[in-house]
Amino acid sequence: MLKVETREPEERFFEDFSEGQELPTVTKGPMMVGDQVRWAGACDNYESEFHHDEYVAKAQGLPGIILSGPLMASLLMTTVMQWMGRGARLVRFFDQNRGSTMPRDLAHLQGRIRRTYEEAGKAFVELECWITNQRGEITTPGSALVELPRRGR
Amino acid sequence: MSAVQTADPPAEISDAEAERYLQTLIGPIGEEVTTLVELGAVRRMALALGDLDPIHFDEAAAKARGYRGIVAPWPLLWLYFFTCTVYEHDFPFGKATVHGQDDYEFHEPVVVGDQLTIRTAMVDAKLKHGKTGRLGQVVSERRFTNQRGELCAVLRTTLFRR
Repeated sequence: MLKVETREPEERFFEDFSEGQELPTVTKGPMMVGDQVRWAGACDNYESEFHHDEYVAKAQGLPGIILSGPLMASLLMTTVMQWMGRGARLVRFFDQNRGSTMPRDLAHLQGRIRRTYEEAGKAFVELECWITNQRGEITTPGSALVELPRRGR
Repeated sequence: MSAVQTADPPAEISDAEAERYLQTLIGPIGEEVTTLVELGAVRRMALALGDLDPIHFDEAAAKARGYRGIVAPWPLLWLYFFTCTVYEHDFPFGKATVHGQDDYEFHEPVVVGDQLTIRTAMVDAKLKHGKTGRLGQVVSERRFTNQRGELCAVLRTTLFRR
């Protein structure tokens, strides 16, 4: 198997984040049917034909192929881990499939720190995160709770 | 020739019947399933999401960061959701089922070579009335534990029936 060119996330600490802080927007796409097919392969799930066959999607009354909600949420979750850095531990994640992502849509992954706090000697960051498309519509609102290392400890 | 009588579409059931039906869904779904966490599955999921963190590819890199082995990206839970659990449900009312939202808890990381056991249960089911009419809301919960008995993750999935 070919070696994958890996990239370690940056090192980040609890002290690097403050309430209200905007996180850098990450843009994915244009999203393609290939992204959906690759996700289906990773999940070994090809049952919902409307996720990869436009004819079937339209026959079912959809405007076209719809990318999987859990795929979009998983991209958002992955971006949260990139924002929080290599020492972060994801504790909770939540997402809603509010709007559809279709082939050739852009996905702008955005986030903002909601709260930072310490509890029982551990440091946590709560953040809200969401995906908007090229029309500014929020398709995937979400939130996450992350435990972070303290600087110098 | 007499006209062919076509069967009427099934009558929509009452709210009380729908609520009674939803209550019957509460409880365990299927049997628990145990599966091996494979290196190829971890690699495929990480690449599908563009997650190039070396902990998903390289055992030495993962151990240097304090993990027991090559770490599965958390979205790999969806592989086991689809291949190890019952995730489609029949409803005697409404026309379409929509995957509404997911709530995840994460505990012990999942690593390659783990034997992951998944238990599924319906934990909530209720009938609501919204702007678009009657709405069934069901929440299924999947609990993922490893061969050491450690809880790795809990995934709660909400489906809406319209």
